Amino acid sequence: MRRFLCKLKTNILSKKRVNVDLVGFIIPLTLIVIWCFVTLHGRIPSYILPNPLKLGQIIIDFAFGIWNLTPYSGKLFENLTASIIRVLCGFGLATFLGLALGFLSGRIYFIRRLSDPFIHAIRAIPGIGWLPLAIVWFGVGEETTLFLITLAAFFPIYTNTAFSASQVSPLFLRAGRMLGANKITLFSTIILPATFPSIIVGLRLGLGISWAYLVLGELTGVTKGLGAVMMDSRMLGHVEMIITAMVFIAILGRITDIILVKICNLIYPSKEGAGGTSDTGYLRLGTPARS
Amino acid sequence: MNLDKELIINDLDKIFPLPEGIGSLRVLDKISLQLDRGEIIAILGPSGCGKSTLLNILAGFEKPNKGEVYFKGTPVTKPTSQIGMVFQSAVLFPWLTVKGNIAYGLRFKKYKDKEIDTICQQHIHLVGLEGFEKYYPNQLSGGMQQRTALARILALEPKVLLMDEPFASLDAQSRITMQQLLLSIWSQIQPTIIFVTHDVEEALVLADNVYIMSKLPGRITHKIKVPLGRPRPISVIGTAEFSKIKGDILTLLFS
Ligand SMILES: Nc1ncnc2c1ncn2[C@@H]1O[C@H](COP(=O)(O)OP(=O)(O)OP(=O)(O)O)[C@@H](O)[C@H]1O
Ligand SMILES: [Mg+2]
Repeated sequence: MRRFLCKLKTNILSKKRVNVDLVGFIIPLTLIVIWCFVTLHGRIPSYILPNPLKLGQIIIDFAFGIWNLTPYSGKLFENLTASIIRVLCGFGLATFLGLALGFLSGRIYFIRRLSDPFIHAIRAIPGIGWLPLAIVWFGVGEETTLFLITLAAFFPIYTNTAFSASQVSPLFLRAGRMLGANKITLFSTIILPATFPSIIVGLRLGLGISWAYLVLGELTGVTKGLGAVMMDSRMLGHVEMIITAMVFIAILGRITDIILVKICNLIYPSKEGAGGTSDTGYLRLGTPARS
Repeated sequence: MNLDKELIINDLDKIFPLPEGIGSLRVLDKISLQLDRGEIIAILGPSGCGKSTLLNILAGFEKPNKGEVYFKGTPVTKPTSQIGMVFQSAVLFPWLTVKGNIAYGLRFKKYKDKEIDTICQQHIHLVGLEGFEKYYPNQLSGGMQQRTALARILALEPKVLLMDEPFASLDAQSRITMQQLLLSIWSQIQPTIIFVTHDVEEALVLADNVYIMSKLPGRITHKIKVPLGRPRPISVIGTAEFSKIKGDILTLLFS
């Protein structure tokens, strides 16, 4: 336990020098300049697109409530927590189901035959297509949101887990059994680490999708949450609040992704080429390829 | 049955179903072998004659259709660290370091962390990998990977080593180094070794007895006792005796 805490500390404290590529800033900066230009010179009215300075003020006001610029002044925290809790619940449930079913169907041929066709048939329905039915079943709001997040995040987690679990080299399993592993330790010392890189890809995709479906679910009508802020602001004509909420969703999505990767790194530290193919570690930050 | 023998292989048959699902392929046909404790045998045979299949059965990875394998008088039915296999590709766990790989099997035994450390260190020394403890398998050369695989199984003190063309993918020089390393390890701990190879010289440098297998279905057709003493330094390859027996075996293989 102490070793774990030490590791946690060094892991969080060790800030490696990040090489920033300045070229990446050209497009965003240009866009901001254009944005300033078109909004400050009155070409585009502020009820369509607020100017960046105004938006900056609103964002700060949303967070700290110092200027009372909108009805949401200072209400960031409560809306943020509501959204985060929903994402965590939905994503957590999807992770649990995705990993459990993924390992079962990846490792046990009969279960794969039993469940794979069904799961892939369901997967063919776009997540958004479940919205009307979800509303009928769960009503608008909380449960519908949870249902949509779980459903949508489940598939990438399940698919990546099941596929990688079925691809574990039989030679690894033979070597493990020969070296003394039993059924349980074979899972924890071979199948789990061998599938871990793909599981992380699945989890990261799932987490990204969770945020998308959070917004969809919250738009149907919840009292608190970033999606609710967006929907209500539209009706109240506060376009700047819509954009503010979008900004926070982007930031949160990115932060939760980084935290997820950090946690994964703590469980199995990233190592050179452990994924087998690349010679850079498999847990580098960056967007995973869509599978 | 002769219970003094370390390993008794009795009348093994192995039949694989064909991929199309109809018919079957007889791969091993009445294989019988007996090995003394500490004996090294080499098995030579054409590609696809069932050598790997035989080793897989001996290691307990596969079941024969007929016949049985006895290790010290008890039947072998499932993998055990007493009978260790070194595969053609090292099959190291890529998520573990050299040391982690060597410690892998030790963690399932009742060792303290300290003892695991000591045993790892001994075996790293035994195979000459000092300084590479923290390397991951993909940062090692092929020869170093095979050394790690060897250390990983030796750390569990197996009584029998099954080696399936373990040095086939190495260049000539590392292959000779590895053969000499294996001989030096053998002189220290005397495991019983079954060594599958395509290379007649390798068989002669290592083995007490060389067995020759036929094409499918694999049968043992000849047993040749190697009349060379031990220790066998690499210079033995140059001797007239060595050339003669090598010629004899090549004639048998291609007749
Ligand atoms: N799991 C399997 N299912 C069906 N056929 C198999 C299986 N494993 C091996 N065979 C067949 O058994 C035969 C012998 O294979 P094996 O791998 O034992 O040969 P080998 O002597 O080791 O060859 P090589 O020297 O090329 O390694 C081959 O014809 C192969 O196609
Ligand atoms: Mg083979």
